[in-house]
This record gives sequence, structure tokens and C-alpha cells, in this order.
Amino acid sequence: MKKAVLIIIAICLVTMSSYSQEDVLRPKGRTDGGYSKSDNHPWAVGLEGGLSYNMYGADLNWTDELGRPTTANSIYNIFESLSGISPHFGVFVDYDLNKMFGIHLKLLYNAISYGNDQDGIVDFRDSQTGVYLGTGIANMELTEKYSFFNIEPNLRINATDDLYFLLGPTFQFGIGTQTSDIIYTENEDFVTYNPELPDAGQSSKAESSSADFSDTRVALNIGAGYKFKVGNNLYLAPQLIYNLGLTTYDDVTIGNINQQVTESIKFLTVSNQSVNQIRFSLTLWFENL
Amino acid sequence: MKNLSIYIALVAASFSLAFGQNIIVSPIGVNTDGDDFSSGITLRANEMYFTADKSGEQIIYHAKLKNGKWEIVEKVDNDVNSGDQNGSATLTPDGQYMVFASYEHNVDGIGRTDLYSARKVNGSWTDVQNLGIAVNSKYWDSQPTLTSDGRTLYFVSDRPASSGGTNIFYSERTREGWSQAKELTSVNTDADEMSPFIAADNKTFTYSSNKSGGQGGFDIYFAKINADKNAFGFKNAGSAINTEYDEHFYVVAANSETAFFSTNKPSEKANFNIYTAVPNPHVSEDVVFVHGTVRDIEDNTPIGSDITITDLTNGQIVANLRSDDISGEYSSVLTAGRNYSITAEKEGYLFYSENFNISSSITNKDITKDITLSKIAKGKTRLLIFFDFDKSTLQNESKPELARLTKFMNDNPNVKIELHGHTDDRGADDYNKNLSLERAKAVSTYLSNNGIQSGRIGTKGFGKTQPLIVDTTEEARAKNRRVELVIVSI
Repeated sequence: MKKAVLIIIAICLVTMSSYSQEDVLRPKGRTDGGYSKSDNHPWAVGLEGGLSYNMYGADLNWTDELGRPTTANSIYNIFESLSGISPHFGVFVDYDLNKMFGIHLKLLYNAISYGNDQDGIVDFRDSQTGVYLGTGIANMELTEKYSFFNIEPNLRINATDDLYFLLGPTFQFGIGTQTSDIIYTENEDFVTYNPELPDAGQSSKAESSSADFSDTRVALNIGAGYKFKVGNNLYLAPQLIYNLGLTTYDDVTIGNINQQVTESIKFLTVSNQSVNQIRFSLTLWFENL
Repeated sequence: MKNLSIYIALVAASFSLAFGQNIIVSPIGVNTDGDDFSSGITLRANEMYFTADKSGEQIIYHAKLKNGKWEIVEKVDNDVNSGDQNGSATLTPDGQYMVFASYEHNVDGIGRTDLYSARKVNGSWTDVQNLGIAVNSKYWDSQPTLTSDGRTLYFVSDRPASSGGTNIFYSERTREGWSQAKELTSVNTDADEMSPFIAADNKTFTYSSNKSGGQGGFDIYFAKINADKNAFGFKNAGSAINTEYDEHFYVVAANSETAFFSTNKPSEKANFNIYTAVPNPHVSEDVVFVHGTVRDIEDNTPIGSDITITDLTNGQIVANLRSDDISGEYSSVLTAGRNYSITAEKEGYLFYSENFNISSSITNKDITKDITLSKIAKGKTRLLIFFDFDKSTLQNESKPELARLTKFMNDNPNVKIELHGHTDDRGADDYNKNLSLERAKAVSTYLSNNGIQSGRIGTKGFGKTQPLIVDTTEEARAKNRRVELVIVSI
């Protein structure tokens, strides 16, 4: 990930150095630090909408009861990788500082959605006596949904007249509720002591929870867009942005209470949780304001 | 301020005299506090379309010479000046067609700075069009100059070429549009060549270059160029014009002793300013002005019409131009020692054509040729073509006129005509009546062979009964041996 960010920054710097402020007299523009385009038509406003590919990631560390590293065939391994697609849309204001640099402020409604499913083994016990009967396989399907209002002040760097890069922080303010939908499924009817799993005779059990979501997070935007002229002072720009989450989350520790016979007692620590986005947008620019 | 300008001019003149060049260099009145350059001079040297850079936005301005002083009249219409940077305008001699450069123009471009054309319609510059991919590239294309016949365009580009830096390219106007641009290899070097200008004689060439051996920065260079686009006789414009700073856009109006150029040498006004150099040290061949006004024959109102001038010696069209929609005025430059035909066409009017000769020994370099057009109406008569004595075969010189008649018939599909043949006064009546009918039929056959329905064409022979000129001179007889066109229905 860091490599990708560094590569994009390097591309920005290389293209910055080759940018020219040309006019009809000078193909490479003035060399005396003369006027810039921003003196004339510095403002643009626009609309943006698109889809985000959300990537939840975390480090999972299983330890035994003595704290030694181990592994587990558990449905909780689902937290290693969750992903999903969600929409975002909003408006932006763009201001030319000069021919090469500009400020690009986005105000976005940014929905986040990701999920996955994971198989794991569980203890299989008699419902009356609790006697261990064998091993079963259960599946957990998890979907998380929440939304942010994003304020994104970016530095716009023009590589050419049409190609630009964006670099800047993202301030994300949680709005609405966060919902978690979990569906547990067993491959065959059996009984466990895990209250989350289906009762005897059931093949699946769905749980849904929601809570107010007001987290504030910070992320870093880095991306690029390419403007196509579609009319007088009107441009359409496909834009690709990588949104790197910077806010850290509290670590979570989970015990494998439903597989202690088959896997022995183990604990899962979920750390370095992050949500990053690859956002593809179509932006409509109203220029020369 | 005014005194300072005069002082600078006098100092410049003094230096010129001191170095024996007798060239007076002085700034003109339109210079602003920003860059001023690229003076696109009109044929009569009384109007100029120059570029001014105000607050970083280059704009094309229109200036006129009033009482010996250049004054800005107006900013050229927004249709032209709608890019972020606009300038380097060049005009055809009729002043009705402009090619200019623009960066980020409202009309979509091919690449970075591109070349565009605009037409003058009802007094306004409009109909802006990109010159297309044969001329423009994804690179910087700018600083155009047109030959006086409007058929060759020289310009500068920083596109990859066989020479480094910026180079001069040219493109020629064909029936299909501008031809694929080619490098002007005889001029280009690995340094930067810029600001080409071709004088009205289409032979005298100037440009600027920062190649080594000059006075410093960009210098003006003189050359001549032949029909094969080979330049020769290169000469640095010298210290009267070139300085250690940048000189560009050396332009001269036809038959004028005043040259204009732009330089950023230090002056009371910053950046580039436009100067005159008198007398012009790079003299071009004198050309003949042909100008006039196109009017309606009945109510005398000016007409904007398409005008074509053809060199009858070789059949080449030497000028495609247009008379002004408001004033009806047109102007062109022609080379002496040739026969020409001039044709004016306007929708709803009978086409006009006339042959004329410009003697190689002509002393008056200013020919007025006013044109009157008749509306298409029943009964309208028009002289068409002439014949040799006792012949009904079509002369080669008549073919362009017959081609125009074919076009007229195609453009006006409801029009029916009669062709009236005539002879001179020699010969028997019956013989002449038959000969005159044969002449009318020769024209009718030409039209039929070129796709005009024979039912739209009638023929009559009048023999020698209706002479155009009642005289027995050879000149009168030649004019009487003719076919006339009569509109019988529209």
C-alpha cells in the first residue's frame, strides 16, 4: 500500500515538473513568473457521483491460553478481509491557485458497505446433556453498513491541461446508523452452546443490529482525473481516488467458546483494523466562473 | 509619456543613422502595459489585428490607422476571443477570413494551442472552426500566416520534427480542405524557429529564430521562398531591428515601406511591444491591388458575395475571397503580366464574370473593378461566351464560364434558360443564322453533357440581326460573336 502511494506521489512530482503555462507566443509559457490562468477564471463548481470499492482489513492473531501464537479454523477469521461496493455523491468547488496548482474541495455523502462469509468448525453437543458428539461446520455471513459526510480539501496538481492529480486529507463524520447483518448457517442440524448459532432443528439464524453512528475518522485521498470537454465551459472527468484510512481502531479480542473441544481454548485479537476505499467517480465541471 | 516616445524614436533613429542603415524604428500607439505582438496587417495597411496580453490573457484587438496614428478600435468578437489565450491573427487580403491561435478555446481543439479560422459575417467575426487534424496536432500549434491568395498557411509547432525546438510548418488549401502539414525544412534548424510571415508577393519570407550567430535571443531573419517551398537568401535583419532581446513577427503590408515587428527590448512599457521599421529593409515585389464593391444592379445595395479570381494563363484559381456583407467591398492582390477572370456569385443572383488583363508594364498598382449582380428573374439576359470567326466550337477560355453556368443550373434546379447565338456582320444572313444557332447548340450540348436536363435549355440563333456593338472593327466583331443567356422561367 505504501508503495502504491509513493508511486502516485512520484508520478505527481514528475508530471508537475513538465507542466507548462503555454500561450500563443510561448509554447512553454512565460519563464518570468508572469500571469496565471487564475487571474481570469479561477473558479469551478461541479457534481460528483460514483461507486466505491470498500476494503476492510485487519491483522488477526490467534493465541492459546498461554498466550502463544496459534491458528484456528474459525468463522471469526472473516475479519481478515471484508469488501463491498457502495455509492458516493456530492458537490465540489475548485479554485485555481495558478496554472499548476489548485484547491479542490469535495463535500460528499459517502456510504460504506462491506461484507464476506467464512466457514469454521464448531463443537457439536447433545442438547440435553451437553455431551460432545463431534465436529460440525458453520458459516457466518457478515455485512456492515454505515455512512459518512466527507469534507475533503484536496490539493489539485495539473499534470497536463486535462490530467490532474488530487492529494489531501479526508475528514469523515459518521451520520445515521451503523447496521450489522449476520447470517449463521449450519451445514446440518446440530446443537451448540453458542447462543449466536441456530437452535436445534434450524439451519440458519439471522441477526441484525443497528446503532447510531457518529464516528469521526481521518483518511488520505490520492488520485487522478482526466477532463474531457463536453461543452462550453463544461467538462466531464472520470476520477479514480484511493482513500487511505488513517484513524486507528481499538483492538478487539474474541474467545472461541464454541470450538473449545475441537480447537482447544484460543483467543483472537483483531488489530490494525482499517477501511480503505477505491472510489471511481464521474465528475461534471462547470468552469470559467 | 508622449515626449518620451518621441525621444525613444529619435534615439533609435539616431543610432540607425549612425550605423548607416537609415531605418527608423519606433513604437506604435496601441502598445499596452502587457505584451503586444503579432500585428496582422490588412492589405491596405490601414487596419491591424494584434495580440495584447492583459493580466495573463492574450486577446486579439482590432486597431485602425487614424490620422497617421494607430488606435485600438475594439476587442475582436468573443466568438474569436473565447479561449484562455487567443492571438497571432492573420487575415486574407479581403479581410473576411482570419486564422488565429487559441489555447483552450470554446470550440473544441485537437491538442494544446490550436489554429482556428473565423469568418466575418455582417461585420462580426464568427463561425470559428478548428483547422482540423491535418494542420493541428496534440502539441502547440500557433503563429499562422497566410499567403495573399489564402492558399498556403505557414505556422509554428513544437510537435516532433526532423529539427529540434519549434519549427515552421506549412499546409496548402485543397478542395478537400487543408493538406497534411509539412515541415519547412529549408528554414528549420535545431534551434527555435517562430513567427513566420509571407509577404503579399508570396515570395518574401521573414521569421524569427534563436539560432546561434544572431544578436541574441530571437532575431528576425529575411529570406525568399519559391513555389516549391524552398527558402534561400537567408539574412539576419541586422542591428537596426535585432537586439540582444527577442524580436518576432516581422510583417509588411503590400507595396508598403513600413514594416512592423515585436520586441521585448527594454522600453517604458514592459514586455513585448510593436514597433515600425521604416523603410522596410526586406523589400518584397510590388503587387497589383484589385479592389472594388459588389452591388445589386437595381437598388445599388452592397452585397457580400463569393469572388473567385482565376489566372487564365494556367487555369489556376489565384484567389478565393468574399466581399464584405456590410460595405460590399473586396480586395485582392495579383501579379502583373497575366490574364485573369473574376467571378462573383451570390445565392439568388445571376453569377458575374469578367476577363481582364494586367499588363506587366502596368504603372498603376491600384485597379478598381466594381461588380454589379442581377437578381435571378424571368427575362434577365447575360452575356456568356465568345467565338472565333466562322466557328461554333467552344474556346478553351470559355470552359471556366461554362463550368460556372453548369454550377448555376445545378444550384437553381427550377431555372429554365434560353441560349441566344449571334454572329458578326460578315456573311450571308441564312448562313449566319445557322452559325449562330450552332453556337447556341454548342453551349447547350456542353450543359447536357454535364448533366443538365435538355428540357431546361432552349436555343435560338439570331444571326447578325442583334449586334452588341454596331461597328465593323475587329474588336466590335469579336464581341458580337457571342452566346447570351436568357432566363425564361424560375
